[in-house]
Amino acid sequence: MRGVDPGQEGFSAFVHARSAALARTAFLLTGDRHLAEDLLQEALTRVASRWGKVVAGGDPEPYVRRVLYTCAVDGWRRRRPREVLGATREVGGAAFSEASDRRLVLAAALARLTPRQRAVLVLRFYEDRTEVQAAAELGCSVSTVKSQTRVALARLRELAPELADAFGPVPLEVAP
Amino acid sequence: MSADLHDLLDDLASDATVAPGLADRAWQAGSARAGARRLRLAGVAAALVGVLALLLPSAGVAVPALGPARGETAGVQGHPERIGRQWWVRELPDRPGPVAALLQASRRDGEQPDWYAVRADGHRFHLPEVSHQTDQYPSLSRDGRRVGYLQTEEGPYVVHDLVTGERTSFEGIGDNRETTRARFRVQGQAPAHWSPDGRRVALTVIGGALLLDVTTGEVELLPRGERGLVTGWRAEDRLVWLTPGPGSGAGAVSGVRAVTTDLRSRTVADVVLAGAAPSVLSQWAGVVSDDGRRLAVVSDGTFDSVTGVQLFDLTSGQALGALTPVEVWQPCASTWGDRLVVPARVGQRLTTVDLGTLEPLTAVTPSLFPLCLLWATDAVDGPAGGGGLLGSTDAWWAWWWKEVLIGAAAVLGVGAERVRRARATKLSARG
Repeated sequence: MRGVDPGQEGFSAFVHARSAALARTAFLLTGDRHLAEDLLQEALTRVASRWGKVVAGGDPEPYVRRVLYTCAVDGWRRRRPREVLGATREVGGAAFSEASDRRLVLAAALARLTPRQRAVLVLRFYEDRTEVQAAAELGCSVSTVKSQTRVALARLRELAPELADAFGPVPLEVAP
Repeated sequence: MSADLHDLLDDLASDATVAPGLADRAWQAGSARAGARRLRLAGVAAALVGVLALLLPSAGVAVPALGPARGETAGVQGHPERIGRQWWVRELPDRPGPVAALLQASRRDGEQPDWYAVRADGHRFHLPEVSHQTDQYPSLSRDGRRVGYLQTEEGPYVVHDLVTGERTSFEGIGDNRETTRARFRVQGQAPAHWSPDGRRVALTVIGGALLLDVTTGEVELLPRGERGLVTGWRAEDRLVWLTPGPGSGAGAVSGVRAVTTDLRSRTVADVVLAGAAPSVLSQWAGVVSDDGRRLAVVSDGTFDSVTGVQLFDLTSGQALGALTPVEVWQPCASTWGDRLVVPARVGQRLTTVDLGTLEPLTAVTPSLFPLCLLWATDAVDGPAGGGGLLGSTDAWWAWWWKEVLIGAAAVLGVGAERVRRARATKLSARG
C-alpha cells in the first residue's frame, strides 16, 4: 500500500485552510463563480507542480496569491469556454433587497473593467495593500498602480453612479 | 471611501464557492505538469547533446582540435580509428594543423569523388582546389604538415603548409593533357613522393621526375631515361625508381630493377629484384620502407595475375618474402613506416589494411564510398585515436548515433506533450 506523499499532505492542508479566502479573491478577480473555481484550480495546480520549492521558501500563501493575480491578469486562459455571467449572474433567488441591488450593480460594473483594473482594485480596497505592495504583487510600477486605480474608480463612477459614495470624491482638476 | 468599497467587495465575495476535491485535483494536475516538465527537460537535454555532438569536430567525443602551431617541426601524431559521418564538411582552412591522411571518396557509388584532408581525430575537411579533370592525385608529406596538389589543369602546383598556412606555388606545372601549355605535365593517377625531411616532393611528369624544393622554390627535372617509375626515397638525397629489367618488350619483361639516384653525386646504382616480380609495373606498385632498406612491390593483378605484396632488400635485391592474404586495390599508394599498410578491398569496401594485423587501419562511414586513402607515414606509425567510446565499431548505430539520439529526443518530446495534453484534458473533464 502506498503511503500519502508528505508533500501532498502539506499541500492539502494548506488548501483546506486557505481555499475559502483564496476563492473569495478569485471570485472578485473574475466576477464569476465558475471562472473563479477554474482560476483558483489553475493557480493551485501551478503551485502544486513546484510545491517543494514553494514551501522551502517559507509561507506559501504570498506565492499562491501572486500566481493567482498573475493568472488573472495575463497568464491564464480558460481551456473550456463558459458563459460569462457578469451582470446577469444568479444571486441565489433571494428577494432583491437593497443590499442585493448594490451587489448586482457592483458586480456588473466590475465586469466591465479590465482584468488589471479589477486586480488593482481588489488588492488596494479588498486586501488593503499599499500601492507599493500592490505593485510588487502585480509586477508593475507604483505609478502604474496609481494610474490604474484612478482610472478604475473613475470607470466605476460612470458605470455605477448609484454607488458613487463608495468610490470616494471625484478628484479636483488642478488649474495650471 | 475605501472602507465602503472594502465592505462592498467583501459582501460581493461572499458568493464565492470552493469546488469539492480542489486540493486533490490541483495536486494531481500539478504532479502531471511537473512530470511533463521533467520529460521536456530530458528531451531538451538529449537534443542539446545531439546538437553539441554535431558541433564537435569528431565522432561526438570531445577530442581537442589539433593545435596548428606547436613548433616548426610539429607533425601528425596518430591516425583516426574511424572516419565518421559529418553533416557539414568545411573547406580546408589555412591552418588546420597537420592531417593524417587524404581521402578520396564519393557520396554515392559511381559519383564524382572528392578529396578530403582527414585529421588524426577523424574530422574531415574538403580539399576544394584539387583539379579533378585529369584524375590528379594530391600528396601528403610524411609528417602530415604539407599538402601538395595541382590547383588547376594549367597549374600551378601548390604546396600548402597546414601549420603555418603558407602556400608555395610552382608555376609552369600542369596536367598531362596534350593541350596543356604548362612546361611540365604531371601524369594523371600517379603518386607524388615526399623526401624524408619534407623538403622535396618528386612528381611523376611526362619525361621523368620533377623535383620541387619547397624551401627554395627550385624545380629540377630528372629525365626518366632507363630509370623507370619514381617509387620513393631511400634518404634525403637518394631517389628510388622501379624499372623493367633488361630485355623488356611491350608488356613482357624478364625482371624488375630498383634504381637509386644520388642527387648529390649524380651517381646511379641499381639492383635486380630477385624472384617473381610482376611482369608489368604499375606506378602504384613500389613502396620504400621508411628506413630506406627495403622495397615492397604491391600488385593488384590489373596487369597480370600477380596479386599481393613482395618484399625485397633494396641493397642486394634479394627477396624477403611474399604476402598474399589481402586483396590489393589500386590505384592508391601504400605506406611503409614502422608498419606496412596497403590499399585493399575488405568485403565490398575499399580501405587500408595493416599487413601486420591484416585489419583495416581505420573504419570509414558507410555513407562514403572511399576510393583511396593516402596516409602520412607518421600518422600510420602513431596510435589510433579519435574514436572515443565507439572505437572502430562498424555497427550501423555507431555511424548514426547522433541521428538516433536526436530522433529519440524528438519522440520523447512529442510523447511528453501528448501525455501532458491527455492528462490536462482528463483533469479538465473531471473538473
